[in-house]
Amino acid sequence: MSGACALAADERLAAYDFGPDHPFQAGRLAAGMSLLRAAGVLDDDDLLAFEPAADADLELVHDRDYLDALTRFSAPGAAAADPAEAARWGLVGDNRPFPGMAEAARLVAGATTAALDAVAGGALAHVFAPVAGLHHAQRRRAVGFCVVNDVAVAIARCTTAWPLRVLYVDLDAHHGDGVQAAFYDDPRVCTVSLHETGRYLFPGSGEVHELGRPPGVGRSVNLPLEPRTGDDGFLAAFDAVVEPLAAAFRPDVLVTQNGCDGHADDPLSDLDLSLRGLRALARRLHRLAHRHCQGRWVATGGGGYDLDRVVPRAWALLWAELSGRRLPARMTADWLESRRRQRRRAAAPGSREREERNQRTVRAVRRLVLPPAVRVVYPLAGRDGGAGRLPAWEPRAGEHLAPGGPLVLRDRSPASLLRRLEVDPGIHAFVREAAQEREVLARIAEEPNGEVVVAHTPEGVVVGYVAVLDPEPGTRFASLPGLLEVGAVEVAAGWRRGGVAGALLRFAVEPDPFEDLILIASGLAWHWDLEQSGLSATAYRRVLRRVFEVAGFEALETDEPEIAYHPANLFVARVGSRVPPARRAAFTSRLVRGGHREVR
Amino acid sequence: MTARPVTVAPDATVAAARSAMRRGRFRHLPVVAGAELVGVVAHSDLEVSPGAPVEAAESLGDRPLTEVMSIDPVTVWPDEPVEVAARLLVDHAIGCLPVVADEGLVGILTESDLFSVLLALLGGGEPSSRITLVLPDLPGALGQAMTVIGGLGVNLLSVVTEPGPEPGTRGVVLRAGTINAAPVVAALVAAGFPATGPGRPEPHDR
Repeated sequence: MSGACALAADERLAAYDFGPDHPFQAGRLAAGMSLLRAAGVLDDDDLLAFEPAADADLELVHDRDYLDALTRFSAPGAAAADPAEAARWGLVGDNRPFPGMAEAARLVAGATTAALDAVAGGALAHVFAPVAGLHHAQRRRAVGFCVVNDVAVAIARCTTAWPLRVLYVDLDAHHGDGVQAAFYDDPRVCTVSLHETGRYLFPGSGEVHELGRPPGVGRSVNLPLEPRTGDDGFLAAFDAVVEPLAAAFRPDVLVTQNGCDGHADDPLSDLDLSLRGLRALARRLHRLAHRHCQGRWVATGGGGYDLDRVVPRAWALLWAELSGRRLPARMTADWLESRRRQRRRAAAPGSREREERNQRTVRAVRRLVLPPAVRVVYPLAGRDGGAGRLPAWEPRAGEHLAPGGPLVLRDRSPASLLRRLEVDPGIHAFVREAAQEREVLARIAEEPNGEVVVAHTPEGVVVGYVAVLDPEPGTRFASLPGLLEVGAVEVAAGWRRGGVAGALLRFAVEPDPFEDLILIASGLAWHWDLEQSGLSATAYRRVLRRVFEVAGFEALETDEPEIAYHPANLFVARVGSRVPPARRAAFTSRLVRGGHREVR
Repeated sequence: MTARPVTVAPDATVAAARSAMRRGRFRHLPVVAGAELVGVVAHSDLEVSPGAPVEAAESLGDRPLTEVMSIDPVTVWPDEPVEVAARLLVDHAIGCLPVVADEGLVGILTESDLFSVLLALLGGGEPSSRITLVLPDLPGALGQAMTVIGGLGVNLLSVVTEPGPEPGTRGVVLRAGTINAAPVVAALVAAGFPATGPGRPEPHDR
């Protein structure tokens, strides 16, 4: 084994082969490996050894009777003898059984499992498993060329054996439905799928509101993008969601499905990506692994069915990125050149509408899955704040005597001061490092209407803060004048239950200008620190509500979709005493929009 | 429909009906005396109009259901086709239909039940590709299009037709159980049927 990277593939994987007239065939592996060798970027000692996956691992994701059926129908002629029974397990059409299918599928799962084991255990930094990423396979059904869900098996093993938190990013043109389903209620696995919308494309799922089931709500993330989205739109969606999500989720390891079937020359989808776009995505994932996952990264090949211009080249670019090897410049220059066709398409009629739809999708996903403070640190490009909503006043200081000791409360904290203060390590709802948390606060303070109120010890260690900022553009209340959002209230783990949050909020809204403003705050249950606090969502909601009520906020009913999505979600508002009745009424009228007709 | 639904007695209070709805997470409640259906209350019957004083909501809670329920509601038989039930909901602008047999109330059918039917009819919820067609509204047109697909060995999970965008046309929505649907769309187009789907995602792109 050379260096810290490996390729989890060898010629045994050619056995996963639905035949020469089928898109998923042995030719994919042959084409990919021969290009890597011809390009001089792959040696024999780059190859990771692996064995067929063990039953115990497969059963983490698949039912025993399904695995038995796989074995049964791997015998030559078995499916022809009982086509109805084979169809019951999805072993028909796209997934017609071939001799040796069960063993080949086990081998695929073995490669991915060995890859993730090596990375999780620290033996390797990055591994690429090209014949892997069979993301459609379900618990008891073969779907979309995927007989065994190798990624789900490897992730399930990783979360149970180590246990580690896994960020799974799926770039295949098709929704990563099987992996999403396997971890739909698991808060330790965050699945993100960027794909062509299911309006026409298989499998049809992957809508924005598929967010997960308790206790994993908010950990299933979907970005359904328009056909003909192209590189620029795809990268913009990736940047707006994936990196900030990684910052908020704090994963230990990154697992990706780098399906290249979104390429314009690939026959199965219409995303119109190019090799340039796929390479840019690989770079971003590599950077993300180092920034947020201590470098731990397993990439799987996923879909991709053009054996000439797409699959081998996309794999070579991904392997080069992951391993740090350099491909011959002559080769890549040729591959990356042909963007003309894509540009022509991008300028075609309907491109504006397409772009707007994608932007709407991105904004909705950000609101649903990113805590407001994280949205500030990772703003959307081209965002303009409604300046001047928050007038200036003289910075104040106050005191609060907490059980842990006296605290100084300070408002209008300038970014320069925040960057000088220490941050208690118990504050980490959003990012892993306290130093990053300090940067979050400074960035909020730099926003046009940003206001940060901190509670710090006499020694200058921040143990709590309240952040006030502009509401996210495009939300229901954002266009109302004189309205700001309490984006975050956080108290360090060791300082909770000492009235710090309530004292901070009370202190924060004391200044006279707040009497001219409406302040709102949304509590989405899946953003709450339930693990640390040990509270149920309902109990947490009760505590949060009381904290806000002490500062003059009122809990309000609203059918705003994100709030209405989960019964534990909380919406509170504080309407200043000088807010004119007309503005108050405009706000109230937006709380409930849906007029639902019932029985007469 | 929901069989053996939760019911309330006519002398129960509005507050009791509210809490039954909250507990069961539903919005319609049959009112039953003995085995006999005497009325229906909807969530909206138990609310005061927005902006009314808080006391109004509280005093309404003490009233018996007989004062707020719809009496003599529209009902259906258990063996009624689903389109008949849908028609009744639309024509009467109502949200539920108690299902009544000889022995009395046996179930309740609501808007949500019809959404489940729609989902099943359109093949949503199963991994599949969606293909839409516009055909002349003539005998044999649908059959010819299906023959093209039949030759490709693709399983269809759903075929639904509806009035087309122009007079004299029929729209067809298909759900094909394959990840590789572009060849199906291409074959339909080659055979002269304007199809939209994977490989040709622009509507009526000819």
